Amino acid sequence: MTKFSRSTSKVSEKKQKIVLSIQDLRIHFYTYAGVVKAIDGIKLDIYKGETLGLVGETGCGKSVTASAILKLVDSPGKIVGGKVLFEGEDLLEKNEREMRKIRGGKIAIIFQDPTTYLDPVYKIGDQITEVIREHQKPASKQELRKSAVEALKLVQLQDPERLVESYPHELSTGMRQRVMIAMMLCCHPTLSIADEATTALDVTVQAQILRLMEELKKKLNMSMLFITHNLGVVATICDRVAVMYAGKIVELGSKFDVFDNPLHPYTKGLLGAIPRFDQDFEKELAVIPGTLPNLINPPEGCRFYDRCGSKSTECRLTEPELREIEDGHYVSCYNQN
Amino acid sequence: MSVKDLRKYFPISKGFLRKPQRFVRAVDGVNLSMDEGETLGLVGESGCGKSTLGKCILRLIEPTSGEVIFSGSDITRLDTKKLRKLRSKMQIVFQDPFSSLDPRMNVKNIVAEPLRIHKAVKSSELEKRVLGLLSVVGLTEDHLYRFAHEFSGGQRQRIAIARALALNPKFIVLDEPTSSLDVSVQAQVLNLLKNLQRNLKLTYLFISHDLNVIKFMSDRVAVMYLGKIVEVAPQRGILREQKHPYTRALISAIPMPNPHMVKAPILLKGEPPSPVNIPSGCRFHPRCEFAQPMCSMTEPELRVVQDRFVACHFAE
Repeated sequence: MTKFSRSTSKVSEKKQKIVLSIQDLRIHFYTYAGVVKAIDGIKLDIYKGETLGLVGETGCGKSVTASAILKLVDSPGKIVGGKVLFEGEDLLEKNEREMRKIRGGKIAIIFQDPTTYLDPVYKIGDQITEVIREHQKPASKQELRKSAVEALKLVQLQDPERLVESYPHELSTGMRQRVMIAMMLCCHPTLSIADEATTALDVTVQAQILRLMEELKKKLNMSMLFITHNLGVVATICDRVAVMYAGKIVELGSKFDVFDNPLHPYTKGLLGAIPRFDQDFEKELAVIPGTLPNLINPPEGCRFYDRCGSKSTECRLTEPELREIEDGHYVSCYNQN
Repeated sequence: MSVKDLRKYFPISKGFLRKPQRFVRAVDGVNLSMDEGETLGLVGESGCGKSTLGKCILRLIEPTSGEVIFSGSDITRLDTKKLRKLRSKMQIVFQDPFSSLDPRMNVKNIVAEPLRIHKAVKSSELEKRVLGLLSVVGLTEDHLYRFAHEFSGGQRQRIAIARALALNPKFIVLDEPTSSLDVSVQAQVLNLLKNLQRNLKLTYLFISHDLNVIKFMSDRVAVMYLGKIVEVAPQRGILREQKHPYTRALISAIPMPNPHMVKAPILLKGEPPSPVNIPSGCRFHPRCEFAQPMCSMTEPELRVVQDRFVACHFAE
């Protein structure tokens, strides 16, 4: 096991360029039961070359935030406010035709299950060249095929010449996920979004894919938004981490800050609830009492209030803002001393 | 509970009328034993056969060959009547709390079903018994007449556990019971399972792909690869060292929630093999960095090495 020193990974934000800036994003879901205020004003910046982890449990809003970046929020969800600034423009103001040029081009995304997202009746090579053709100037069949082979080499797939002629069902899950990554990267995106991209993979395959992503990150100086509920994966691949709860970002900082010194009670609870292979016999896992609040009528104060062990009156009355506590480490909680 | 040379082969037929030529050797000769009150963790990746093994042990899937000895009898040889009697002592909790509960039955009927089938309780006592079971898993009277879809994943698993406990079983197969649950919900369910085991002296076969959960729950850990057990070690022992190269790779691959411990995982060569084309000799040899010519020729036996069993020619 090698240990990496803290200084090589901590990002000094002030000097970094911002690639994507989410400002005051609001997403509501219009359901029979009422309007669910799923995302109610979040702010998040992604810097050039960094991997930002977006972590939280079911229902926290991490996936819908990613969808919002690409304007892929489907009914009954609706983006009702805020801005998503990319290269100086607000993506939320763009029309569908403009967004289609950006998706898969400058901003690319991969999802959890590579089997669902690869068309079973088309060859791998054709699916990759389809993406390339959509986003780059017209090229001959040979040039396109060459680009597809290059993309497969980039993700370290063996025998790419033969693979471009194969169908998805001939590949293992790990290989299919590599193909998805190849499709994501073939047009050299400025920002990649990975939504639970390794969750469905076996642990040894996941290790290979994470290692691949690490290498690509360095090689391409790529920015990535990595969405997951797995804190182990976050600690491995991310530079900074944003913790989400009930549609809000409750903590944000470098991975060292958040794991070594978690500030928000929810983050502490989450870290305490994970069983650890490397720790000797534990009798019981620490449990976060209670359940998610109802987001049709969200509480006026802190959304974590009912489940929190260290609350005060202020917490119940007014929602805390995300404040910087130490350099680059933010938390939305009043009880910080 | 012990399992001797258990095998399950699924035939692949090459056409409507032709006899099957090839088989998926899902479970390919497994030997295991479990003491009363212990938890044996069974870990492996997709396709290794762990789920199939769990179901074969309960005869939910009929084994192709081998023995499963429980309460002194080989259950693979029992007729339906005798099997049904023993079945009340052997139960299962599945991974998916959404499909393992009948959507047309309310909670009372779901939990009462095994009691009714085995005529374990008088009808007048039924509701009382169901309420007792629900309270053991942390649910209340309010939940009795609700339906599965009204509950969260964690609550549904509690209902499934209550149902599994209905007939006072001695042995429960837990097949990835928390894999589809959030971290905080998983913690609650795992704590509950541990408490129940202590209070009711249950024996668990805990199947999971998540080594962290396995380590937390188990007394001993069995690692499965392509239909066979490759290592069985006490829980502390398997953390301290791993004698089989596959176990070593598996453990090195687990991402730990500690940014100071970002380690270089042992990356296995090649792709995970299919249980249709099992490599000759040691089935792990094509991916093993220590493979010798002998490994492709002779299959290693599961043998005793210090505090554990290992199936590797070179383990010591």
